[in-house]
Amino acid sequence: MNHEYTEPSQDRQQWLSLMAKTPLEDLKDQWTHCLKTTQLIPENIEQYAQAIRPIQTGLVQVRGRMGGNGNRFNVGDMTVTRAAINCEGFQGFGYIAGRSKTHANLIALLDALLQNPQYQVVLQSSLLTPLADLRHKVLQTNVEKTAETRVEFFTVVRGED
Amino acid sequence: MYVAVKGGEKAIDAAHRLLAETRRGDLSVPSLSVSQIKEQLPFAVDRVMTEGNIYDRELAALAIKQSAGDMVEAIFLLRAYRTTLPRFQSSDPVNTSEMSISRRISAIYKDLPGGQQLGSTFDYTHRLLDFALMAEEQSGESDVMNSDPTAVVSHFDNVQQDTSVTSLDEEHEVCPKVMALLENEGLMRRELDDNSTVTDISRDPVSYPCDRSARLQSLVRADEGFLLSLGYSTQRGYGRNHPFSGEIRTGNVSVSIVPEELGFAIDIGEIELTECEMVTGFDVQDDAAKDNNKPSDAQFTRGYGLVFGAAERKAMAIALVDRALQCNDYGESPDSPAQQEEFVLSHCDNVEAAGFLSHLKLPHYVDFQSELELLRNLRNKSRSESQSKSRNEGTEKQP
Repeated sequence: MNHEYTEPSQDRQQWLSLMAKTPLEDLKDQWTHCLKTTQLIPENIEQYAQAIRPIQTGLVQVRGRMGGNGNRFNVGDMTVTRAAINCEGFQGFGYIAGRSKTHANLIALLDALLQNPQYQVVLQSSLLTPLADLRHKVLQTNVEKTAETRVEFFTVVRGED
Repeated sequence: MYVAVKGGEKAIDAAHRLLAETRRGDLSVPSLSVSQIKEQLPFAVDRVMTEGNIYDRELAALAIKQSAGDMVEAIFLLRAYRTTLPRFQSSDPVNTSEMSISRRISAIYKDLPGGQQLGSTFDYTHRLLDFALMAEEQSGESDVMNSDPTAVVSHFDNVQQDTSVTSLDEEHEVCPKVMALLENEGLMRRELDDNSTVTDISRDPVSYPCDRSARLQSLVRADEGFLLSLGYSTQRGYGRNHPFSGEIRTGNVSVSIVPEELGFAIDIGEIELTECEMVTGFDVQDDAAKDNNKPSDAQFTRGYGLVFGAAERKAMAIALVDRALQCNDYGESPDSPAQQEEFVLSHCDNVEAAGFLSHLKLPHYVDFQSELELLRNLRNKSRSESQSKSRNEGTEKQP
């Protein structure tokens, strides 16, 4: 059984991005929690997954734009790790910034499971939603901390006129 | 001519053992961990990432530890490591207008949409040594200023949460760009994307004259000190371009790529960037002037700097030098060092510069022998000439 993806999935785009931006520890914790509480996905599910290609660390050339929106230019590289697995006929891919093979591999596994209609609903509610909440909280904290440094400058008139 | 030298293996090994000792320092002081460097020397990490030209905080911290704090050496280590990794692809251009801001200031408008946020900055500090930091270290206390870390967390537990995954797109307030305010009034030259090809100086060596994409890429990896001095020289009148800091912002941006096997864009993570937009002296657009002798409108020009991490000084220096190097576009004669493309770009890389400087420490015995011989011959020649001359003079005086 092999399921080809026919059109770019907005959901898939979202979950791959969310999981890549979630720190590995948080992702692992939530995944373990999800396995224990839902009892739907076998705990040894990883054993059913085969690597499509070896996990690999390499570089992605980061591009910027002159003045923020003009012509493109190369800023520099960043380390990126990618994994590709097949699990029960679904192909999963994991791409993350950095060099954590565990992180990339876990995302690839979860990407495959998330495409599986059998698990999708459960994973959406017990994995993705909590992760999105967590990320929202972290971002909020940063916003609030920075907002405390918001400054109002006053110009003071000097001289007689 | 190069002549090989042999030997010295034992001495070199011993020297490297000594280096390891120097790096470790006094054994009674606990060893510094890579994660401590990563967390507690973030600005050193930022500089090494920017000039080493790889965004990876952990690798940069490791390089700093290995080089015992010699920054140019650490940058060299990271550049060398870079050559061992395959490059998968290029990212989509990062969108700095969607940055989640941790610092944002402008020196040209005091009231801005989105406001000015100082973030964490050395600005407005008194630059007095803080002996309290030393005292804390001695007493083994943590130097975290917030005594009640839970206070912040509990406060945010009450923040209303958006639970849908789709909310990620609007995950933070977008701060509009200051330059857009001037652009919209027609007072600022717009940056346009004409789809021109992007030069990659890490693949193809720069040939002069080069385009702005090659210049900006070179300036990102350029030595901060060198750029700081060049930028300073433009402020002091060597290639004056009358700069104002239009906007400086630091924060995280998402990096997205389109993997071949997926065919659609995904975010692979976030990186911290600092961007500086300089408003520089105005110029009359030539194209407008040519049109029916209409009076042409003068517009501000601009310089741009973008770096990894919170390397603000570097971003500002890049923006100044970027503008100075645009002199030909505005009919300014390139009289000053900062305006001379080949001079700036071929001397700005500290890995190249340190490499060529270092080679002076290698044996030049044969080279130097030939110089010595030449000098001795010259001196002997001139001595014998002057002797024979004085002898001749002596014989003339005799009668």
